Amino acid sequence: MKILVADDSKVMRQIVIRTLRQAGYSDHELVEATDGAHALTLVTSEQPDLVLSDWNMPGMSGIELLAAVRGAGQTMPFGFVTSEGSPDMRQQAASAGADFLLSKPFTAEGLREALQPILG
Amino acid sequence: MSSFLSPLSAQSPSASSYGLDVDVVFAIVDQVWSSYGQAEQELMQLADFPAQAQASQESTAAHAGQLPGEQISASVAVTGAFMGHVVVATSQEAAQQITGIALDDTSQQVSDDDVADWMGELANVIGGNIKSLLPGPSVLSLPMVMTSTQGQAMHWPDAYVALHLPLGWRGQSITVTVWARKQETSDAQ
Repeated sequence: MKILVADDSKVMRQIVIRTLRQAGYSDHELVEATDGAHALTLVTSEQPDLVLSDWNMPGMSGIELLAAVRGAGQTMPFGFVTSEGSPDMRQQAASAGADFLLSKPFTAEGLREALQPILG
Repeated sequence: MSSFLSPLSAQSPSASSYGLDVDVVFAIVDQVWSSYGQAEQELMQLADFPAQAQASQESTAAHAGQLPGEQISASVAVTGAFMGHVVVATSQEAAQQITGIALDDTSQQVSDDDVADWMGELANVIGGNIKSLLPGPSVLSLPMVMTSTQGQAMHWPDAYVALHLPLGWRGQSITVTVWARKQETSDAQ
């Protein structure tokens, strides 16, 4: 299974990947995107089984990425890992077709709870 | 005249008018710290908790972000129902250590790019959480990171310090400051 991690912070991408391992998802192939546009390209070329995306990124934001992904007919699970988790943003995310929104800071347990329904 | 050009005639509402509480903001920072590994190494210590911070806003503004030596400051802007900045500042040395821990690599010197990356991300996460305490709707900007030498503090003349949280960690100073844009009297609540 392939997981795409999109975040403009390289350090945060490493933390997300490390936390995925801590949460028990160490056997999955990981692909990194540095912003929304990069992620959109990789969604097409890599066909990941799951996208974990930051919301606030330069160029194309996470919510714009999700709209583009769904607009392109891609139906893979998509979750936000973002510094904001207001009810309004959660509503926006759900309406746009996101499977979950995990707010930063997050723990391995929180990530596992979010991913278990998707990855098992 | 815009509020930007009239700081002297501007009104500075008390921090409490924005519902900011130092204990709540400290809890946010502490949670961020704990989540990224620092707590495991007993890295978070509180020094000079600013019970008096709001008592003297001019004094606080004069000192906000002023740390000895080479300093790095990361800020995010909040624009909307609340207008202002959230700034996380510390020494270059502390920032190097914080970044090394975040990368799970304290064995070698981390790059300046990684330090700027991580300080910006810390401002983003802390700012995003503080934004949830402020009036909305508003939008959070991408982080900006600045480095400066001794005595060159970040300062916005059209804003006042709504909250200043000085923290101590490994003998180093870390500050979290919320700047709020001043409002003209006619615009005040």
